[in-house]
Amino acid sequence: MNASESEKKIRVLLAEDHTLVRQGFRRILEDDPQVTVVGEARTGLEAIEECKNLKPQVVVMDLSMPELGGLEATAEILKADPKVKILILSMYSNDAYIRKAFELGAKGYMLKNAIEVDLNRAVKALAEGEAYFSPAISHIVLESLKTGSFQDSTQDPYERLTLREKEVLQLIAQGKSNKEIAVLLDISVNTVAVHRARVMDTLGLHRTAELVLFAVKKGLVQTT
Amino acid sequence: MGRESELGASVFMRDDGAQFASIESKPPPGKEMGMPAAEHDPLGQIPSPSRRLWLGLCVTLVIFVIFASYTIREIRWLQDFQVNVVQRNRKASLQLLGLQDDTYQLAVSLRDMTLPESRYPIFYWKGRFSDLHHDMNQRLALESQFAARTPAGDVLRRQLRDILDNFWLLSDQAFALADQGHEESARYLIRSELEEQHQTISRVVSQLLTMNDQAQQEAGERVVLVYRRVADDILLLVAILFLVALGTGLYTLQANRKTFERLRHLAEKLQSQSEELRMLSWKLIEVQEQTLRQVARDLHDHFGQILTAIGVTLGRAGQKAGDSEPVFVQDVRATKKIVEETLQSVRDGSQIFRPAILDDFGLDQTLGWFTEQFTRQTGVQVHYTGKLSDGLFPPEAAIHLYRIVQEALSNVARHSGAPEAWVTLVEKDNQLDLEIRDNGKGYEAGPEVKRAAGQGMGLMGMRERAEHLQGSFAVRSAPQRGTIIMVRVPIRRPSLPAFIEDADHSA
Repeated sequence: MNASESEKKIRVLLAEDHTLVRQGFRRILEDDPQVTVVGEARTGLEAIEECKNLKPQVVVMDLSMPELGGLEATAEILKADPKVKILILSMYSNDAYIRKAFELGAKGYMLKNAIEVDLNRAVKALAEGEAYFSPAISHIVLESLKTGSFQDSTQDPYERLTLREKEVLQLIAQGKSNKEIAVLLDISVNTVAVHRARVMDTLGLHRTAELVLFAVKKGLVQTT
Repeated sequence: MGRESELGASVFMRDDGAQFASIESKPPPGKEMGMPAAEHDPLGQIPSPSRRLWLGLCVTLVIFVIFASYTIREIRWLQDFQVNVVQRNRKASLQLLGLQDDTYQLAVSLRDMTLPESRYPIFYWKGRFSDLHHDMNQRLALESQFAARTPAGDVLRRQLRDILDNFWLLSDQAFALADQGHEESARYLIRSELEEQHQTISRVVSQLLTMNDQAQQEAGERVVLVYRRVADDILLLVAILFLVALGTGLYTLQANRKTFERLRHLAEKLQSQSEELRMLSWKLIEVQEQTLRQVARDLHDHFGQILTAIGVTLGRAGQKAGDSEPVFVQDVRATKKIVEETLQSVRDGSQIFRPAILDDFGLDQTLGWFTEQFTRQTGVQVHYTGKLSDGLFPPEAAIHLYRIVQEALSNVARHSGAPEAWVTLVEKDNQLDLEIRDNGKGYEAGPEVKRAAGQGMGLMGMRERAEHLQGSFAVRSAPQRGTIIMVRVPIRRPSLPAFIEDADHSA
């Protein structure tokens, strides 16, 4: 494989915590000559890191991963490089997940069953700049477009936060340090740092004091 | 595919293959009876003081009746005594006074008869003597009838009667002599005999009068004595009644004190037992949640991923084989279909044990998703209205509200026959109101009915969860009026610390 050939191939980062599944996806992806898996990640944090290093075109991202979930990782990756296309793989067909994924900038959402048929097609579609979602969830996407619920919640920057990020925000407002938050939520300090950065970024704030003020105004904490 | 897990979670699959699970919290046995299972009738330990109190009351009453009847008898006797003795004595005394008067008249007559200058012959007094004779006899008879009979009195009366008999005999002789013309002899007889006899009569009558006086005085004294005795008796009765009442009262006080002490002890014991039971029951719910969470995670993370990997690999194998081996491809596709269906079941099961959406998006979204699922799977039209900023309620608290809705709707589907149900979640003034209402057949209030309908345990679990969140829980239902379950829990926002470390650079 020479350099020009490999440059034409779609560079994919595979983020999936379960080894067997990851291997399965990798085999499927590599079955397609136009696709190359440039790296693997087992957590959302690793995915962010690998994205910086490997500059993939498409990230195939598992929704539920330990440490930092696929949704938060998606937002963080897109912050660093908005051109990256992210395909969410999920067990869940709940509209909340789908809506959140698109809200945070993912371009594709696939249900984990029946993946082998479409995975490469989806990766290619995303690389071409198109969106992709599993046929099984098309009604949910359409419904959300119709009711405009994709936009609705984005009006309030607070609502753009994930539940985990809201938790972190509340804990920050209580005066907890990153270390304390890490212990409380059973995640690494690095993950907490990512959450903290995401919260500030989403809310357009720059200092902890501003976060606290925001939390008070929002009624997340009470002044005694 | 119906199976009961040890956790008390039952999963049943409907014809369309959809799953719906209900989680039933199982409080420890005996809890719903409100009595500790270990004790056999704790009230049996307390001896009832009633029997002794009844005895005390009976003794008091008997004493009262005896004394009252005795006293009444005494007073009646006193009355009789006064009527009979004193009255009779008075009558006797009247007769004696009459006798004295007669004796005096006799004396006057005797004096006149014997006066030398008397111008009347002796026979002139014959009629008078006859009258007095008759009168005195009568009075003497009456007196002895009325007077209190004493030996001394009887002697005097006999003496008086003898003397009088003798006196009348002599007076008859004197009148006979006078009739025969021996006026002087008659006068002599009167002067020598009758006057002397008369003095004796006068003395005996006086003695009888004195005796009568004495009897009257004695009767008076006796009355006083009897009165005093009755007064003493009444005093004694009052004293005894007082003592018995005092004894009964003291015993009652003592018994009450003992009973209350035992009751207090028992109440304390029951309270501590009920607290232990409450803690135990809460511990069970907690363990159940932990286990469910673990099972859900295992199902999803482990089996789900393995099945995904198998599915993915099978799919790839099928594609690789292409059209060259149609039988193999067919088999692979069939196997993959099975894997996919199994994966679906595993995913649904994991969602029901612990919906990931609760941890990822919060209660509001979870209830929206759940009610939708529920409507699809059971045919009960559930309308959900929610207004709760997610993040206000941490998942560890929210799971209990989710379980309450799960259980309540499960009851709606199983027991109420309601075509529709409404779930509302309203956040207001630092509290969260959750309401689950249906338009089903409802039920008669009362633990038996609820238990018969299989809802008692579920309701208890719901209450337990609500109370753990420092909230309140209420159920309202009436036949044909549907059922409303209302839960109100406080939203406790963490308070702002006095000092905030700027952690911007600490990461």
